Amino acid sequence: MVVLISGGWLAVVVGVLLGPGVFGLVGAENMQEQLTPALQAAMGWVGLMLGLQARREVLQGLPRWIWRVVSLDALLVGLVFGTAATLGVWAWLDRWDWGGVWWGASILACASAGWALETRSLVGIETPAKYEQARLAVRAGGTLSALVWILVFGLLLSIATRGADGAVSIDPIRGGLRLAASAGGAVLIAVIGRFALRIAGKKADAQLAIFLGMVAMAAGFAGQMGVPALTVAAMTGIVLANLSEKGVREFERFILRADLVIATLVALLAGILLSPGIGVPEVAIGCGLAGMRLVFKPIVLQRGSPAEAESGPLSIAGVRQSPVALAMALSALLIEPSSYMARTLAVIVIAGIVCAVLPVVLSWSDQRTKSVNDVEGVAP
Amino acid sequence: MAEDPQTPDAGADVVERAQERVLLIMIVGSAAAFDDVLTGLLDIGLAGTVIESKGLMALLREEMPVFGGLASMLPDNTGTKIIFSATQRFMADRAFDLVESEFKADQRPLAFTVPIERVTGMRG
Repeated sequence: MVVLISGGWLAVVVGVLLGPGVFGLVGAENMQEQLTPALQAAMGWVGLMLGLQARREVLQGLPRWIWRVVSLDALLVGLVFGTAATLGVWAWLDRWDWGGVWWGASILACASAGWALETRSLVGIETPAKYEQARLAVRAGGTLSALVWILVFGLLLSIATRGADGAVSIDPIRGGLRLAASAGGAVLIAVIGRFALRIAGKKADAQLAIFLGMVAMAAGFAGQMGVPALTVAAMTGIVLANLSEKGVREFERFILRADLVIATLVALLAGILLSPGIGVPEVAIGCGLAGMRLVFKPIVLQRGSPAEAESGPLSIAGVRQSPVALAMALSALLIEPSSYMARTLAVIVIAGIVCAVLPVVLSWSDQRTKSVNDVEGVAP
Repeated sequence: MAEDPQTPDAGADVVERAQERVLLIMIVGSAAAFDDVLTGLLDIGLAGTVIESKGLMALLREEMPVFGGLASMLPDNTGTKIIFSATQRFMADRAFDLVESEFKADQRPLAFTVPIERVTGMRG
């Protein structure tokens, strides 16, 4: 139960109950249009939250081995998960459709980056000192990996464009230019934001107004460029974090304080938008991704961390899917509101739930085996 | 006209009350506010002990971060500071005046006093 609460999965369940599939409190008709403002605000908040953490002084203060963890995870996501997602989506669609495969595989591969950052359910409320390095690997490595892949996710999705005839074409140059233009927009939004924050001072209501203005601008840029709002907001956050201004630090705290609230909102929206027609292929791909996480993610954390680092129960922390995965799927739904995207979201939710439960089951069975062995050991 | 017999006693009461020992406790949420509070307290000549602390929500953000993994490791985002000062009531009143004049209502640190029944080792 702790796992389901800490992973935000109960909020997904509440979302499903509220959605058109069960009680229908949120109607199916124009549902995505109705939820668009909430989705954009949530994506903007998540993007800013992640981007604002990429402050130069903080990154410089991290041990170098953290970058080894991030690089190994990037290799794993790009090569192993990318290939598996492409093959899985190809089999799922039952035909080679460039656009469909590109979109589905990009989302599923990027969503497999990083891991959940929460450690309390694995080591208790106070992390023992011997696991400090492992905790740093989980927290810092997971955050940076998610941030890197949000940018890659933006590039991959902007490369694929849907024409007037509905066909999807792949154009790397155009996609790159779109992302570059979005980066320019992010710099502009951040500079305007800094100016506004200087005027606003520490007032929470003014900071909220500035935040909404920045999200509206980021969503507008993202919509025009066909780049995910999550990516534009993250880029804005990165630029803003590195503009040395006292007001920016206050704003950073204001944004970061809402961590749990926004996570719940994201999970709730994911539950509402979840496709009711989940079938065997979605479950199979979701479970497949979860199985791959179980095999590969502990290796990334183990190989990336220093040899003397003790990880104990945190060795399985990498198995749990990052909550950023849900944000990525929702961000893709904003660009391409289709049933295919809703089913891709379903795959990510299934993978996330299986990944949240697997480590608990494994550690429980491990403890059970140990206790049986202990009893046998003392038996005459 | 006869003098009010209460006046000298009332004056003595005020002086006595001002010199009562109290424990002043201030909980400061942000590093920026802490700097201002500390400077102000030093200006009025109030000494104290500072301990690092965490609010419940800050503890949750630190132990169960969802998106703020790096931020959860920075004390800026998760820590508060508690200032303890065993002092006299008139000094505590000065500290309250300082907090009320220097900070807007929504940015003030939480400050309160509790009476001290018995004390030893106190200087000043």
